[in-house]
Amino acid sequence: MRVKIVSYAVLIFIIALIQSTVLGSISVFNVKPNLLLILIVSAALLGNNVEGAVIGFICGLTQDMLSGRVIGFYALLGLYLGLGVSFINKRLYKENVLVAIITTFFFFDSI
Amino acid sequence: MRLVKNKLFILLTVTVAILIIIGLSVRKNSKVNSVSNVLTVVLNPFQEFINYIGDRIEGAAKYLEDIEALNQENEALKARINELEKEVKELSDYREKNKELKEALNIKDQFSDVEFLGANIIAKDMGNWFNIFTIDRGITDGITVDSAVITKDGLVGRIISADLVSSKVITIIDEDSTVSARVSKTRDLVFVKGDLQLKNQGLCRLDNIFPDMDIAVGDTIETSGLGGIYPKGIIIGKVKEVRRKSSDLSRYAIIEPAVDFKRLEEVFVLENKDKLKKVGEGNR
Repeated sequence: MRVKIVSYAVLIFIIALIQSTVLGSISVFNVKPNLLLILIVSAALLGNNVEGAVIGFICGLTQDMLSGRVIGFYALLGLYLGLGVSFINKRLYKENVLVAIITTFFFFDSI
Repeated sequence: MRLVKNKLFILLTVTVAILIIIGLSVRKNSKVNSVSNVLTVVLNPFQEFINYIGDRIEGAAKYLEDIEALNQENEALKARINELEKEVKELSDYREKNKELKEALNIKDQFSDVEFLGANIIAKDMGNWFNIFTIDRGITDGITVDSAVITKDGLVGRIISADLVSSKVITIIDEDSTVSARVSKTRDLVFVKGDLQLKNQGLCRLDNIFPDMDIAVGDTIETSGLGGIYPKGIIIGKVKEVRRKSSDLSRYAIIEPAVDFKRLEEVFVLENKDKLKKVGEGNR
């Protein structure tokens, strides 16, 4: 459990760093790729719904702190996104990479 | 069953709590926003490092590319310098004259009590909802909320929140931004606003065009100085297109900002000199 928390924290830190610097200059059809979103979806697909919600919330909060207009906006979006994805993950064959890709695309514009 | 109920209850509480926090942090200068310091202070050096590396790589690649072009440009520029030097001589005469006349008229110079603080952009907006970027100056450098941000080309935006070592800038193309402006040619008052559809192309729109107003493509738009945030006379951009709404009653125009928001790297923050003296006091 402790290992999990630490590795998630490091992962979020690195992703936030890359997201806020390098990825700003890449955009596809005016939509920027969002690594934090991908992290939320993958965590929610592989874990249970508490994990999905908490990771979603923390990723959202990170984004709020770094570039949001208000504190809490992305956090709320992330919380429900993580929760939503983790509720449907029982019906999906989650080891399949394609499922993760499609799910990410489906939620792409929400954050 | 009880567990499910419990979880639902937690979810509801968290949601309500977040909504309250959003409500609190929407207010200007609210204390809630200082939470960001936790992350921005830690991330700031890393972001600067990555940007530094990025600049270096870009610089090296450009250096090899540009040698030929630079040689030609150098020649052209030398010729231009000669021309300009002639002009400078003439203009300095005018400047002296202008100074005398101004003193005679006692005109208040808006820029005389303003300090230009240079800043680098260290992070761009991460999501697709806002048009916000982060600069590497914060409260400790004397940045205050609502200061105007410009480049040498024109207006960029204003500071929406200042952290300890970094601050967030909202650009004029964000739909939350409204600038009181003037048409340089006719001195008519207008509003420049961000627009949800236009901001992706780096454009903004101009409202408040009266039916009898004379506005044409190519007109320059500058800040009016009303409202107190932006000083007077900063170039915003040029009119790109004048459109008519379907109701046929009012017109609006598309503005092409003088600043290229996709290629911003360095900006200047305009800070009041009086405020600079009491750095960090009560500007949150």
